[in-house]
Amino acid sequence: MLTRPHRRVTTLSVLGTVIAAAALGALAATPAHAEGGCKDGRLVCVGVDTPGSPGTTTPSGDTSGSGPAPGCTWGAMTVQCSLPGKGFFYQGCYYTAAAAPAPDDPVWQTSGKSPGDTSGGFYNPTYCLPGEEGVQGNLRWLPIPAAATMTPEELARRALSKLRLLPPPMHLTPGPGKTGLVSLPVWLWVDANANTWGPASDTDADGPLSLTLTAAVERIVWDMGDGDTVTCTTPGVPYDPAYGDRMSPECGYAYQHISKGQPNDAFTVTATTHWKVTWTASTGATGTIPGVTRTSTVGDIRVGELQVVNT
Amino acid sequence: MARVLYERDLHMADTPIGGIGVRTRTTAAAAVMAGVFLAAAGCSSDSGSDAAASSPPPAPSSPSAPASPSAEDQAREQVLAAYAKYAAASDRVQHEGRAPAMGGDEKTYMTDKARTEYQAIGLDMEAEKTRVTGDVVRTPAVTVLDLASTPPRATITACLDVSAIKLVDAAGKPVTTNVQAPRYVQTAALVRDGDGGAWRVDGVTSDRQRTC
Repeated sequence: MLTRPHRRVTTLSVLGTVIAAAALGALAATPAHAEGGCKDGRLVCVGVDTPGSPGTTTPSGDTSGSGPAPGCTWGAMTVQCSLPGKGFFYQGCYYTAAAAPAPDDPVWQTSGKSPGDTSGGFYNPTYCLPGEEGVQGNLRWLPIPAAATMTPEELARRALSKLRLLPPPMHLTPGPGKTGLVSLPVWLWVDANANTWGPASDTDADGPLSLTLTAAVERIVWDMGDGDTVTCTTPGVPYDPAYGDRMSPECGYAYQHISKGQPNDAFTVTATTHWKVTWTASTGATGTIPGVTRTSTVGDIRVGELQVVNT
Repeated sequence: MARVLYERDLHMADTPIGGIGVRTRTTAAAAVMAGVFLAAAGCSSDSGSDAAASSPPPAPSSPSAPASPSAEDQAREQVLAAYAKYAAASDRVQHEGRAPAMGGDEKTYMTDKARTEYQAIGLDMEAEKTRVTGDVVRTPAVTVLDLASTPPRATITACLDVSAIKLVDAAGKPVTTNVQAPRYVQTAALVRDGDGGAWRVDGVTSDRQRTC
């Protein structure tokens, strides 16, 4: 433990004189004492260093007080492994964890990494030592798995934002610009695909935390513009003239009032899809994100009365 | 054979630099040996080199011509100036007790090796939450000046009087310190960047038990 720091005596060694020999002798005769983490350039160090005769040791081996932790070196120098505000030491710099960049952030490409790579993470260099000063200020990928900086809920929100959930492409009979009749069946449907009806799924990760999120429409609410709403749990069935005046087997309506007197003498119909969003995290946690909706509107829905002519 | 004696007292500083008094004193006899200067430190020591300080060493013969005294004078002053800058920066960091900001001009008078220690000292003190108070008085002298080597090298031997220095914690309360001589010997190695380039401190060695 009581090792003597390396002494640089090369400048003296070139002399080969009596003086040099004397000087070397003096250095060698200097009592060995533990300096531990007391760097040569320090004026004074923390410690309980006891002056000892050459070669003495103490049972604890701790004669130098609180020197830096021995684990981190840069060149021949022992440095602090971590510091408040500066983060942890890694190859010449101190780093703090950075939020994972968005998957389309070019920094992934410049780092040669893919967003799903959890073998490391992105870090901000906060302070660098000579040799690594060029790193300063640049977000850097290090092969150190990032500690999760997001909660599962936050990660779920981010995963959701990356799903393209679209408003429902709505259809109804007889359609905008045409005039339907009171009491006649109106067929209601939407073009259903993964983006408009689900299920849509995405996996996202933040450090060691990963999460799979699934979104699917659980109901669609048609606001018919006359004060009534129709709630369906399916996309509905597209109307075909072959169906004549039959009711939609899944999602339909029949206006009871004419649209005359409404703004522009027409109803405005709004369809809102209500999505059920659920997620499962790698930690086993599960959850839902409530209140996810998408809305489409179509105007100029005209409803008239059947004129019955008695003959 | 040439033998040149230098007996000067530069007193280039006594001027506080960043609150630190730096007194530069070059006493001593120096012998020119193929461009190598030998001078004893401007402080007493137990190294047995006192004799060298009080009387010039025997001048050895040298087959090569010595550098001109003016070039050596100039180099000596530059070496002392580089050490004074190093000392001021090092002392400032220790008074602040935190790592120095990056991007300063330290690289003009410290090599990367020296700067690494200089920064690491600030980091250590930041971790300890300590800083020093009081002034250190440094009495440096150029003890080796070798303009013929590649790169040119110099050694400064300085006596550091740290008797007024206290180590304190964040609250300003004194902290138990290592035991060392109140005036101890520090040796600094300097190198020159090529011919005519800047002298830079490459590292220091402290003999904390060696009284001066």
